[in-house]
Amino acid sequence: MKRVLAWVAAAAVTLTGVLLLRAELMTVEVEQPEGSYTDVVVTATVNQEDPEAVREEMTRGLVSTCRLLVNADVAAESFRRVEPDVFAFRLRPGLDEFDRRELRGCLSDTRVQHLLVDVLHLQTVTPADPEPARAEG
Amino acid sequence: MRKLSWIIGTIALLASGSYLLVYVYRWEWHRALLVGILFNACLVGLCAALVLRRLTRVERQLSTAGAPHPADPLARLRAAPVEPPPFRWLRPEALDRTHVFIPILLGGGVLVSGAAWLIERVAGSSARAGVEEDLARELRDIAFPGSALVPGNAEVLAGGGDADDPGLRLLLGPAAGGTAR
Repeated sequence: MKRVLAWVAAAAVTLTGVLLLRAELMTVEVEQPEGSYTDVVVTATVNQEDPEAVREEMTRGLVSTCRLLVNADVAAESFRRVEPDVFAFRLRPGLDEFDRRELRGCLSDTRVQHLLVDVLHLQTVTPADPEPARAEG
Repeated sequence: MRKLSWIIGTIALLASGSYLLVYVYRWEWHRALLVGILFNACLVGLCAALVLRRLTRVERQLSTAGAPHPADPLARLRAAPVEPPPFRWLRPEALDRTHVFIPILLGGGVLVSGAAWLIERVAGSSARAGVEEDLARELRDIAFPGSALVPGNAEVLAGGGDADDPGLRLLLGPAAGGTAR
């Protein structure tokens, strides 16, 4: 009897976990208003002999890969180096909540060998947002 | 050492499973794939270890069961299993256990059965005479009469009856008709 109860409990926990995971991973397209954009700031760590020489190039490659996943373009000349290992760029159109989550996961993932990126700032700004938020972006 | 290996394997399995879920939740698919491979490896390793442990146990049992008996009769006698002492429930240290009630119940059953048999015999011998007389009287009341219930052919022929009744004449046949005339 105890064994049956344990199996039932395990099955219930598994089912609940799968349902929660499904709810979290389900992507829904949320239409973003015209003129919206998403600002991203990342820090990049490179594990190679001469990191400064390849850091920006590797980060650009990762960004261009990940922006394809969320169907957004990097705004022209928006990719810039803020600090030696910190980069910022802007994506258009703005990303909804699900796309932001996907972009954050893609950037933090180990897609490029010897490159580890951590997302410091990820925010979507729409024309309806108040000025401070736009200025911050 | 073996227990430590089991602990490490179980921890690795749980940790890799947890991280697998976390990475999937964070949309970090490459990390999830790597951790998933580790999770699968831990799972396969633990399952294989479980099967091997069970096989080893079965092998050991088989080798123990198939061990040759000692050739010396004295050694064989000594190797034979000792017969358990009889009436273990009557040992003083076991008197406070519940199984002592089993012989008590058995003995009580025997005593009650004997008493019931004795009562049945006494009751049967005292009641039998009266019962038989009553039964004989009732049987006498419902007994068949000594004479026949329906008159025989000879009685009918001798008694005549109603000769004018055509049904009776037909039933009795030509002899009845002749006699009547």
